[in-house]
Amino acid sequence: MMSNLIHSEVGYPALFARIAAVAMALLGTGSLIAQERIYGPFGSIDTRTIYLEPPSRLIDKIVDEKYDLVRTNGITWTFQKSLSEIRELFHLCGVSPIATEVITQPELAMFHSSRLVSLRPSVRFIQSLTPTTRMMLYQHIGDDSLDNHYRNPMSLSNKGIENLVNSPSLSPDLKKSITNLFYPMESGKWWLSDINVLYLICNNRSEATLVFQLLKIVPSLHGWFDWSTLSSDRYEGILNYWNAGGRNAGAANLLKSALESPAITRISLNQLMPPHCRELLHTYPSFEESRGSDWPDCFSTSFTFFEKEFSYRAFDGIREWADERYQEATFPLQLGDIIMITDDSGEWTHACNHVAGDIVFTKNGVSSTTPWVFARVQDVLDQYQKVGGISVSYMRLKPEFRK
Amino acid sequence: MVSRFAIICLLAALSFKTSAEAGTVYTTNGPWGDLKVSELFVHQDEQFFDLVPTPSAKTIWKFADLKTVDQLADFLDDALSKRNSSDRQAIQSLISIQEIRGVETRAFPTPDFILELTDEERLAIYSRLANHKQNTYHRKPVFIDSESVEEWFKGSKLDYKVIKLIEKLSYPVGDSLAFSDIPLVLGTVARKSDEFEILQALTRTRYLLLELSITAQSDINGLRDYWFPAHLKDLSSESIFVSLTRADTVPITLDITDFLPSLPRKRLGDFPTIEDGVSGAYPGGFWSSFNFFNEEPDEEEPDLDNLEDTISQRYERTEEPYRYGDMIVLRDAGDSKILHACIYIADNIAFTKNSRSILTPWVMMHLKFIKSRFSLNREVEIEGWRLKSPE
Repeated sequence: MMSNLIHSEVGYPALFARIAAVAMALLGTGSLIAQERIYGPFGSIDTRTIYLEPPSRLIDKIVDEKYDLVRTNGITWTFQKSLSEIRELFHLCGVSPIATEVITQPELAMFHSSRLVSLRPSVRFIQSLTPTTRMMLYQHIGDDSLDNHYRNPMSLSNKGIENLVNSPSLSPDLKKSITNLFYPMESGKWWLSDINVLYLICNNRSEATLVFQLLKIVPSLHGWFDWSTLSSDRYEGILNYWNAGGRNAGAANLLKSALESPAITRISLNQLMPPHCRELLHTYPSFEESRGSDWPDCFSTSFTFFEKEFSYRAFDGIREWADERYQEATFPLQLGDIIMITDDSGEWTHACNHVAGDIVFTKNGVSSTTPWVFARVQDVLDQYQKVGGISVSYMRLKPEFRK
Repeated sequence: MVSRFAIICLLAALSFKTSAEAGTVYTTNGPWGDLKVSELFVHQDEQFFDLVPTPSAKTIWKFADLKTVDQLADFLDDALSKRNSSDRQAIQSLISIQEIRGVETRAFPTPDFILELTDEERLAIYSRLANHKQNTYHRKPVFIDSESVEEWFKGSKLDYKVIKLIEKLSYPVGDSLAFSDIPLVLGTVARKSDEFEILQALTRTRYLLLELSITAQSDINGLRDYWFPAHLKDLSSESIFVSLTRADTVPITLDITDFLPSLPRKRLGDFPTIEDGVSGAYPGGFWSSFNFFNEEPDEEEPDLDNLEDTISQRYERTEEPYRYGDMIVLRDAGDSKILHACIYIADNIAFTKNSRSILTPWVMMHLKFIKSRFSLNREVEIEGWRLKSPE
């Protein structure tokens, strides 16, 4: 009963009027391209969904690092519970008594302490779990770290699933084994937590690489600011919006010149972003951007939206940084405001930046294989839904820091 | 067998332009694909002008190579030699000269003197002034990449009278016009806000927006070969290009910043900020060119004393037609000194940062206008260098 387990306190004010839910624009070659237009104080933006494939060098590196390791060590689930509590949890999550008995045998478990126990589930056992069981059980595996795929599963794009299912290079049995591991959330999106299982069920390294290449496809929005239908008396307000109090003056300057040119009626949305955001959009973290095991994540991104580069020093204490510099944002939201998602325990789970209308700039996950994208805020919220619910708050840089 | 690159070269030679009306928007087709080029203008932000002292409104010319008043008078006589004697006398009464013994001579022309100069006289005098580092506005004049000053400043906040004054005082350099008389123009306005507007307008730089139109009929592999050539392996932006040009995505129009490397994506259209100079020097053309493909740019400006070595270690000479990613080096034809470097994009348009100045933005610019900026007092040669393949 998934819907009973998840509740959401999210709400996102309708700041803008959306004209025609989806306009199908018939373009030159006869192809139908789904294009959506939104209006607001920011002007008028056309977007269409695109799908980003991760660079093969990233996937190769990850598979190279993990393939032998996982195949040697197998799967480990660690619970911050006693063995009897784990058995009770399995029961509550719908795991059969026999399977529970087998997997929780004391001689197969590793006791780090009385309330920190690791189990070694077999691939067959994992494959036998129902989607509901996965959804309930996986929230209890491991700790709260952002790279724990059990608590923060990998969101699968419809395009990625479609490509996997249609791939001629994978056997039907393997496709079935992989798709059996997917489980749905209330939003209708599909998730995958058993990422390490993929290394075990693929027949070889290149098959695993292909599977990751397909599943790691993520959607983004390709956008154009279009003023062909806007009255020029709105230009001042629009320029003020993109200028963001002087913090995005370069883009506003460019837009002003474009608005004054009779020959130009649109400009790429990317061109209206602050420099660091322009640099990051649709790219994947580079190894140069990592600091040891730390990679740029949603917080380092959203708190440096208007900065020239990441301020790693700030992330030694992100809460302190935020408390000092940010205040609650009032509506309507402004360019760069932070949309903060918090779970029921008060932990920040995700942050992204308001761009315009319902478009946000986001890095969904700490992984090196998730790019910076434009997304619709509801899609981001759906991705970060959690058992126990989430809440959303809005943050804006204090005036004294808006230089 | 004709190689793909040979075909690319042939296509480059056959590239054509259509509807280059007033230089505002035109399309060009070549190995780079169907490119729409639109012209915008950028200028340094108003806030910046609070940070720099406003130049004096009094014009001072310094002649380091003319040590005595007599030498300076002779030089001015020569420069004005096409005038008849009474004209020459009249105009010479509008300038006073001074000798700083053993150092230099100085001239203090009145606005009337400056305005009286013909293009030829102006060029003769200003070329001489450009030899001395202390004549900043002559050594590094403001460039107007248009035959029409009025057209160039259309859309700026400048008063029409000021525009006409700049037009009167501009002189040709290469394919551009140059303007050096900032003090004179500042002297014509009384309010600080008007001075700001003049200074801001003078940082006005043309910025080319490049949009690539991709349809089902486009040669996607050919485009990929052009924008992601084999000698530039592992460009992270290639995956963006691949994603955006898949069969189920086209037709699509891409701003080329959608798939350029991170440095040009981040910098294009922007002026340096104060923070950019924290390491001791503001980024210039060599830094921008050497780091064009670097995900993490070097923090320091390249050693300008060893440019020849740096270039020949990392690049190899290449001839026209240039292709995306080639480094274009501008040399003084006389002494072969390297003057500037920029990165070739397509159709004789390059990514460039024309000086280290905080008043100079990173832009896409036609090569001929880049060349103009280095053509004062010299002939400039252009040569191409291609990044060597990774080992």
